[in-house]
Amino acid sequence: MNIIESFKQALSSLRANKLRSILTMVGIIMGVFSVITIVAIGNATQSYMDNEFAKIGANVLVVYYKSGTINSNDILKNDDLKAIGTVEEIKNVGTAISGSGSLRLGSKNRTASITGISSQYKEIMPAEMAEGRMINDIDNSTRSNVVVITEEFANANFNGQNPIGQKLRVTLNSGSSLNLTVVGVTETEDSPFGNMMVNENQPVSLTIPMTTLQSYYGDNTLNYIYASVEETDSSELKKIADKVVRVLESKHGNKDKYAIEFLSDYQEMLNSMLGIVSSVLLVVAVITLVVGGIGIVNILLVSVTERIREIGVRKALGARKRDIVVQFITESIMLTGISGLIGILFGILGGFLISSLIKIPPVVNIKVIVLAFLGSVALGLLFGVYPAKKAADLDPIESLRYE
Amino acid sequence: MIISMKNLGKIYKNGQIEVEALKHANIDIEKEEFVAIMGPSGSGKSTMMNIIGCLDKSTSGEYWLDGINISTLNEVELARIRNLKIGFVFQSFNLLPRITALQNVELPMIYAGIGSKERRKKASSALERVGLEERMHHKPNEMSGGQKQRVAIARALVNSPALILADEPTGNLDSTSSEEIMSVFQDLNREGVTIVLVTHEPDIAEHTKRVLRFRDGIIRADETVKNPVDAREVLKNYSMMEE
Repeated sequence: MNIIESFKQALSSLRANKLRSILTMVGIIMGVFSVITIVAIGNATQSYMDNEFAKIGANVLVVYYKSGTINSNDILKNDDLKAIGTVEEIKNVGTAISGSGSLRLGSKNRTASITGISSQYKEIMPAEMAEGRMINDIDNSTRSNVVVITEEFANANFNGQNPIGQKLRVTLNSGSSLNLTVVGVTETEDSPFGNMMVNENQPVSLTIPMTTLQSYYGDNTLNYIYASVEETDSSELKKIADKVVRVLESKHGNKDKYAIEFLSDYQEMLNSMLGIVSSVLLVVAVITLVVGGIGIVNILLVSVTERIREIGVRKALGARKRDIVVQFITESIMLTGISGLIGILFGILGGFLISSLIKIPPVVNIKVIVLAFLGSVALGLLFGVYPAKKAADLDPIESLRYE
Repeated sequence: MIISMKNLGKIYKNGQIEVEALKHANIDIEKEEFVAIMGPSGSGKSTMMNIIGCLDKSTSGEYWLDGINISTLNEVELARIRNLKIGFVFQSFNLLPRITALQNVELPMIYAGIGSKERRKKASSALERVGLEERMHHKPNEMSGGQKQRVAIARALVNSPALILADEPTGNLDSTSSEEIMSVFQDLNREGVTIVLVTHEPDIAEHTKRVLRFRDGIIRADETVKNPVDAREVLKNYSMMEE
């Protein structure tokens, strides 16, 4: 019996029990669907994160205080930025401080979260500008009253007017108020939680020169300092970190007050966490698939029992054991193969749907799709063998007599 | 010679108990014969039928079918012999319910590896031969018992076997249908088909040319039927009685 013939026969016998075939297939469809969706979302998240980290470009290190007593001479100040800059491997040094205040917009008051950034900060944590420019050197050295706002805030508040040059009056929590001129608008990008952030109650995010913010607070304490390096080799990075710490220690005359971490460490940590979550989900999905496969064995065994007579007739008419094995395995493979295709289709759709909900571009991995399909066919083969063998081993005389 | 059995024996082992179902059977059946095998249950006639049909193997002696020594064949070769040399007709028809008459008749040819076009052609001409060309696209449950049995005969014929082996082919049929089936068999036999028919109905056996009587695993009698009943005549009488 050739392959086309087996497929025809398998199809006809699956059609004879439509409901049963469909119900059996649902198990496999679910399994394949979950595998594909989970892998798709995992990959999408991964590539999204890699992308985000890649935007920063060079590796970034963060200088912060070690836990323990911090004396006044240990505190990082603006001039420490320059000091760190003296380390030759360091490309850019920057920092950001934060403040909060409120903003009068027409009749409404909105809270504002204010970030004061140093001039090189934009080189380390780049932001795409929709309009105008970022805070620069001159802004910082002149403590100018300029502000960079977000695109969504601009769209919501300036009704199509050019936001550049608009004035904002901000009252800091310390009581002093500032008149700020808008010089730039940052692009709002799709982010996983982007939409959830758009809310009247969320503070407006404003970016101003660090020195301007410090002058109103009368304090130039820095909580952390960022620096970018070109180096990616981890042992080299360790050396650079040591150098930076030594520079700071010699400047402040202290020891063991500062710690350094690299953004790449965070990236690795995030990736490995994501990997663990993905694998756990994948295990669950594979279990679903196996349960579906057991459903197939079950239904094929029922089918063998129901068709003992048919098997006897086929054998009497000249079917070899092999023909019967092929017949049942073909049915099994067809069940799982078709289920696999449907599952893959749903999985891709599901991946796209969830990706669009969480604003991560979907990643369709051809390798995973091919693997999933081959996997479901293999599953059919694996789970079809036992029932098929059972059918083929039936004695033709007994089977013909079977009622 | 289509069938030649030499000292054929069959012993069933069931744990410690041995049952000798067939003892020293010597049978020769020539081409174009029409033989009935008769006997009560337990007489060994079913065992004989299974052995003739290559569904079972003897435990001693030799069985030659169409010049092939069946006793030496393995399972795969037996399947091939059943496929090409033997056409089975069963008491309960044993058609596959989900497929049409035509597809049922095609089944043995699928296992013979015949291409679909030729299969279709041969199957429809076999159905024509048994007078069922109009019902070839019907499924078994849309047919009467007599029609189903004729489909089964067409299926048995289609690979041009050396032998048609019919096991109580009229056992599930009323007397008119039985006569119709016997008439089909007689026509085929006249055309040169060798037929072995297992039955316990003497009326049916009288349609054949030769009767082998089994009892306790031994052939008790091998008789030639002097004046076989012509099924066509009987059917004529039936229709006259109805009028």
